[in-house]
Amino acid sequence: MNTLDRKISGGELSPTETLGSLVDFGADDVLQMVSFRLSGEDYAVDVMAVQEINRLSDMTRVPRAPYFVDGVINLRGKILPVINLRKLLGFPPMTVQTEEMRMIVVNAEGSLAGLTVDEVNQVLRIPKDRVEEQTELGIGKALGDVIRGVAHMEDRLVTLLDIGKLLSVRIQ
Amino acid sequence: MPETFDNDEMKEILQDFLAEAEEMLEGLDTFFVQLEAHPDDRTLLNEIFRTAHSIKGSAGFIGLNRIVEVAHHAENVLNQLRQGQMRAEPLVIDIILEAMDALKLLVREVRTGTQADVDIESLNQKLDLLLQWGEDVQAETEPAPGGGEEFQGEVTPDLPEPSGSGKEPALVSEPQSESYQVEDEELVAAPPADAPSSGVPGDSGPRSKSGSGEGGGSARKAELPVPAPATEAAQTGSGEADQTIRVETSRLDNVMNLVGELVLGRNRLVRLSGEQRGDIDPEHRLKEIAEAVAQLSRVTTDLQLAVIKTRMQPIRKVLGKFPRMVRDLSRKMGKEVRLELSGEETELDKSVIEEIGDPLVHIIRNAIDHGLEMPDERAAGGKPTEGVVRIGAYQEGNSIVIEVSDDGKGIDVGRVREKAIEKKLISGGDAERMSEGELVNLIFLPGFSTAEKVTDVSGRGVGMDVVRTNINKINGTVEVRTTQGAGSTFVIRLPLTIAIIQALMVTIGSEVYAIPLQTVVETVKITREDIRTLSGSDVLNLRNQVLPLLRLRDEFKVPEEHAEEPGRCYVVVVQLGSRLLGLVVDRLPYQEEVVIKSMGPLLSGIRGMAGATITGDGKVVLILDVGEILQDIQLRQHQGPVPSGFAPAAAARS
Repeated sequence: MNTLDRKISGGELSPTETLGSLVDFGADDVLQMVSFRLSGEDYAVDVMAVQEINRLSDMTRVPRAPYFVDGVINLRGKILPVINLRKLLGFPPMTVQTEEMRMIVVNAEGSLAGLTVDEVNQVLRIPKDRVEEQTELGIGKALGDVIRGVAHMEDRLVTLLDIGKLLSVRIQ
Repeated sequence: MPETFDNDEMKEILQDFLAEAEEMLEGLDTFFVQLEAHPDDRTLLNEIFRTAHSIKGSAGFIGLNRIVEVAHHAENVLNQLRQGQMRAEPLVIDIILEAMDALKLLVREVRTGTQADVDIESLNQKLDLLLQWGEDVQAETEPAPGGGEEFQGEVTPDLPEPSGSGKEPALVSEPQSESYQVEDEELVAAPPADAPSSGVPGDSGPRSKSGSGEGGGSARKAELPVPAPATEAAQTGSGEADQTIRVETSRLDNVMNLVGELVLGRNRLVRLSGEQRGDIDPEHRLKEIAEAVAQLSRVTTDLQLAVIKTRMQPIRKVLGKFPRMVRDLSRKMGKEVRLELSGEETELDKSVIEEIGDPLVHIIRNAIDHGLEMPDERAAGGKPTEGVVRIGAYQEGNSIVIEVSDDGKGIDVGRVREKAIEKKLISGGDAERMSEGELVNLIFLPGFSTAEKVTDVSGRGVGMDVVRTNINKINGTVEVRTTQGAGSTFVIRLPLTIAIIQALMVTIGSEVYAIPLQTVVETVKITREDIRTLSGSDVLNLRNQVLPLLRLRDEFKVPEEHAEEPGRCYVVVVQLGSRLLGLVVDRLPYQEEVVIKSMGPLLSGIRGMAGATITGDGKVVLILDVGEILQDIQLRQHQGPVPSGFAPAAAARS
């Protein structure tokens, strides 16, 4: 683990620092993704869409909100909706809050949201040719709607999520 | 031309021009309507000429040749008016206003960067024809004995009375004007070469050429796609709403002063918290801190007010558009209408100003279209033939009231009742219990009006639910009062600012919600036993009136933490229009001034929530949208199986 990864998984990343400013950007054919775990599986989102990573804080429940929205929090004066990724992707929700759980604050076209995940791992550098952009994997509609592709890493599969699509999931 | 816009300075100049030109053009509209009523007002004419000239001047400076061209031709006509060679007849004003509309489109074209669909050539030719006609009349009347006075009397015998607007009696008697009218109509459809009047087409040709020549540079060039900075401006500005605001310097100075005090207050606190030496009496220190905090709190309140003030704009900005609209409408419908405005200086938040225009237009259109009678009908009813529409704005406590009244035939309450029963919006029993005032306000219910049906109900009600929805959106309310035969008055109440509201905090279990105080009528402490059921739904007998109740605990599916509900609870009675509803909550801890924040696109569609706010301790509290809650309940009632008018909670608990 490099310093950055420790920072992320330790939740020490200062709110004012953005990940983008800490990462050394490589060539265009490499994707930089923040990877995290959900119910034992690996997922990742584009590092440029990530504003910050926080520990979970007190949430205000929103009546009549879509099922995958846990509530809203106060992010330094802004109201931030918190999306429970487990619920959105169809996993059973966590019954207890663990020390490793984090909220990834993502930003797509000016709309902000927090994504709760089981654990944040590291920033992955994924060569584009390792990514299978095919999204018709027969993985159910919930995931199919927000998936960007699947990356084949040495020993595991990482599902890449499309933040733009994810944040445009609207109340039906 | 575009390359000269490449620097920021030029962009700024362009922005300034756009703001200024839009303002001036709007002002001109009003001037022209005034001119029609007072065709001999020299001061007004000079003012108009000056304004038009300065638009032309600034447009020429920036090189917006299309604008210069139209402005130049209009100016020629205005010059004749100013010199008394032509009179401001309705027909003349029509054409000038058309030119003003074209200028508005051209200005917008610069702002948005998309070419406006304006036929400059034919418009210029029209203006030139008008000019030519004016000269002809002049030439013919000049030999007549006497000066300008005489001439005016001769051509337009009955115009001096202001009520003459709407007719063109003088013009019809003039042979030139008749031929002109024909040309005018043909011009709209066909090129001017076909115009029957001799001499005129030949004359207009060279004129428009000289016009474009004077524009400094070729007119063709100006018609090329609009310069780059304009497109950029369009991107930064979202939609129609203006992204800039003009603020009086004195208001900004006030903000600056207060910020200065704020900094002083902070320094004082920082110093107090940093002092570690033991030589200061802790009690003394505590006192000083308390003082500093009190000062900070006072400055913050003042600063909040001062900042709100920078966003305030006179309602004139909206009302200013109406004289022109009323004039056009009344001419189109052959009605005589006088518009009276008052309280134009009343100030409202910029965002409210932007939102209130459409509902007002709707109400005024309705008043003229359906409220006011035709002149002969009015005469038969013993009223002056000229109908009056009054728009008045004033401040009342923490809200701004806008009243739109007409002296037309009023709304037929009986018909409204029939329609409402027919559409199953209310039951026959409801109708009997409701007062006339409540009945007439049914026109705001969604579903009351479907286009063709509504014209039956003395014509009122087209899209009135949209009016109410739009006004509710900015936390305002609207009501209507009517007197059969004497007219109707729409009363709109708006908050001074929409960003900050007084809210009543309520708790349900462990959750806290904020209810906008302006919708709260009263709060009542009750015990569980006080709640009765009527046809299966909860009601409260409040001073011998049946008040429908809504248990927010059920409505919001608040998770039950305690097995037992407290025996005592509160009912917050909220009102919107004439509808009352009691919201059942556990406690009413306090009242607070809250800043409304949006919950973002993901959650903005949730019914019943106006937004959220952050309280002093950093918690997020949701703000209820009482209007939406009431609306939803009304809808449920009418769709629900319970026949009674009071069945709100029944569906809520399902």
